[in-house]
Amino acid sequence: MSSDTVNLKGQKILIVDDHVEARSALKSMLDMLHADDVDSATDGREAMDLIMENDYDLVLSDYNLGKGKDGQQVLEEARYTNRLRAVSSFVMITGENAIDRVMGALEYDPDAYITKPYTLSTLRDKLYRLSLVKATLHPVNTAIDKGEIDWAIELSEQVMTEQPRLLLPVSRIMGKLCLRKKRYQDALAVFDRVLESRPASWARLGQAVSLHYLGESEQAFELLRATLDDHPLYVQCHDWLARLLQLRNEPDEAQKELEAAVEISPRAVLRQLELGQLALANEDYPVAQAAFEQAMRLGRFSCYKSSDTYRQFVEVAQKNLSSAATRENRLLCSKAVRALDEMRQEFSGQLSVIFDANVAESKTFTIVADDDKARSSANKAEQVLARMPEPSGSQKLQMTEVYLGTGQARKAADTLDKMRDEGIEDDLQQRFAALEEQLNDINMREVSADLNEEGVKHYEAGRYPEAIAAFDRAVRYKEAGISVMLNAVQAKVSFIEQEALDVAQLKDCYRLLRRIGSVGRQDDRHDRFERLKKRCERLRRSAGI
Amino acid sequence: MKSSPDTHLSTALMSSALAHDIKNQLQAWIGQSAQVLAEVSAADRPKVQALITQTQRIHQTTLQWMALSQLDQVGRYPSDDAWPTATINAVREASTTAYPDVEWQLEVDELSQGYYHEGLVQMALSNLCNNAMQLGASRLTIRVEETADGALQWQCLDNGPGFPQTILAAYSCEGTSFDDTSGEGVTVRALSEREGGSGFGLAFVCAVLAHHGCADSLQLSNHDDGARVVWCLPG
Repeated sequence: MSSDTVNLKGQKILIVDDHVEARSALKSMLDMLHADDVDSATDGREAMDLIMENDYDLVLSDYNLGKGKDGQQVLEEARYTNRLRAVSSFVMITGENAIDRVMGALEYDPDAYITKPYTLSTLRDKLYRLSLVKATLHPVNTAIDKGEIDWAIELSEQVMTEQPRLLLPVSRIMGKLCLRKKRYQDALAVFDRVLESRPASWARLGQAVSLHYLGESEQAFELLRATLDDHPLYVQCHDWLARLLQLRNEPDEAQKELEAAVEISPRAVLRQLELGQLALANEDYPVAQAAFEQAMRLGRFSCYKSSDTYRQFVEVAQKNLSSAATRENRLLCSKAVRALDEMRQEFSGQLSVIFDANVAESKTFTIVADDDKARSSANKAEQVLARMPEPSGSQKLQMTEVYLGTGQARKAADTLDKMRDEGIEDDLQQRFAALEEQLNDINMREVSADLNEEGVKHYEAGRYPEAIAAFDRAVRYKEAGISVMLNAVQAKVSFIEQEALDVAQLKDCYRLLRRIGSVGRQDDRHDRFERLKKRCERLRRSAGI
Repeated sequence: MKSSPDTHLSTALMSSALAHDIKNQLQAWIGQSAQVLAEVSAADRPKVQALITQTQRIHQTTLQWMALSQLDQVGRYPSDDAWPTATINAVREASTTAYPDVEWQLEVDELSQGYYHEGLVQMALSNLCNNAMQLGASRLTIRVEETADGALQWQCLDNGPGFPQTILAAYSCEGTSFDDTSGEGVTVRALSEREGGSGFGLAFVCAVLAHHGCADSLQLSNHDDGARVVWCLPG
């Protein structure tokens, strides 16, 4: 048997290439190899649509597919969604020496690579070799497709013994399966065996991953660094270094590794998400925002599309927003609102997602001080919450936050009261207490303002003792403002001047003036503060204190 | 007028995009030239063939140029399982249009397997074979054998005029290592001065072998019928 025997008749084949001539050249070559059932796709999205609808025996995809998904993402999604069985083949065609970017992938790696430009002979030979390997590994791949992983590992071991020439492809599968089954010692042995004869980078990565899980993280770390020295574009090494650095509690360094990975391979949704979350935790909001925005864009046509990505993007955008009327603020705000619109559209059947979007929208408008829109989004969130059969405690707390943000303290208090009656879950206790405190502060401010108003009325009517009583209650709250305290001082001074020299009231005046501290010259209340201080001083001297 | 936001493009990215485009065009050219040759009349065939042969040289030189410009980049051309029969067949097929009458003899075990970068080795072998054919060789023999230490020894023999003495003398000196890839470029012992060629054919072969850590294995000699080139690659 030789490569001349390659016959693709009866095989269901998909070719993916954005370049029309390249696609047609490949189609002609496949015709010459007797292929009679060939579909073609011009981009990653179309490829995934076809993969979701058909069971392909062979997919030949260019790595660079222009805008949107690249070939590696098509492969990842096809395998991730179980739409491409292990017995099927995926051949990656690389046009710009991107082999180093994809052949390192440990989790989702293609069955073979072809470098452009290739001839019929190259294609035929590649498919011939691939068919030999696939035929030998058919029992292994069948076991994988059935989910019998331990059995697949055992069969791989047998193949390895019988066919030592298949060391690389079999070890790669076997190492991956051992990692999946958490058989780290076995995985390490597999990768070690490869490295005895072949300096394959993926085996070094596998070795590092196994060592890490076996508790030798330092050794794993050094190995990853050394692999990157030899193979700087090996993006998965950066990913793993980032994970190890996070475990070593070096989040800034971990972020640098992920940024390096994203620089090499910017189209991986999960990596962008990981970077966004890490940068958010590191309070590096510009990086987090850019990463979530990319994840959102890339995720649109991906199996990794998630409402969380939209929510996280808006959450970070909120950190970068303020109430200042700048162009940047306006642009960012409308970007966040557009993201939330898209979120509602994409997940229109899910009430909890719509609720999240409305909550996030209200908070965004609150930050940019657009109170009307914030209130309107809060109302929408309230309506959705009412339609939800069993809203979670967390959702009720979110609603409370929005009520407080939009000046609806009464509704916030009602929600918290109801929750308290129903019993609060342990993991929500802290959030609940924080909101309760926030509500108390708001209530106090409101009470303090009411008492101040009452004091002013008494004072204007010349009822100084009643005014003093009201102001005394108002200043008892720590939230009482400078004006309220000045009012209290003024009432006491007026009382002493016009009714009786009360030393206790005078001492109160000094206590309040000390509490105020100082009032800047630019402040409207500065002159009043100074005048009251002088009046107190005069009274103190008169009293001989 | 609506303008799109500014986009920063690095020269490396633009260069990579151009390389991608060139390779796509070459891929299309392979298919189109095969189709034209299949459809052209016997009378027109020589003219078309000359045109395709010339374009094929541009094709090969472009690929070598692109490979050379990236050969210094660490990790750019990783090795993988590779099969000499596949490598040789690809070279043979690519030269069939220009040299349809050349006889190829392959002395290679179908299962023989190596560990090298197939694309680079293909280009190096193509260089050697095309040089021989341009110089009039009508028969090429490629032999691949496994050595005692597990490497693959390759031999390319032709029935052309053989190497000039200056080249042979340069490649017979011993005791110097040519596997130094620490700096940019590659150490070569002599350059060809043949008319019509760049003179870098052997230099390219040296660069590819150095990339695989095998530059010292290159031996040139003349045998009864023509030239012999021997080199090793990881098995």
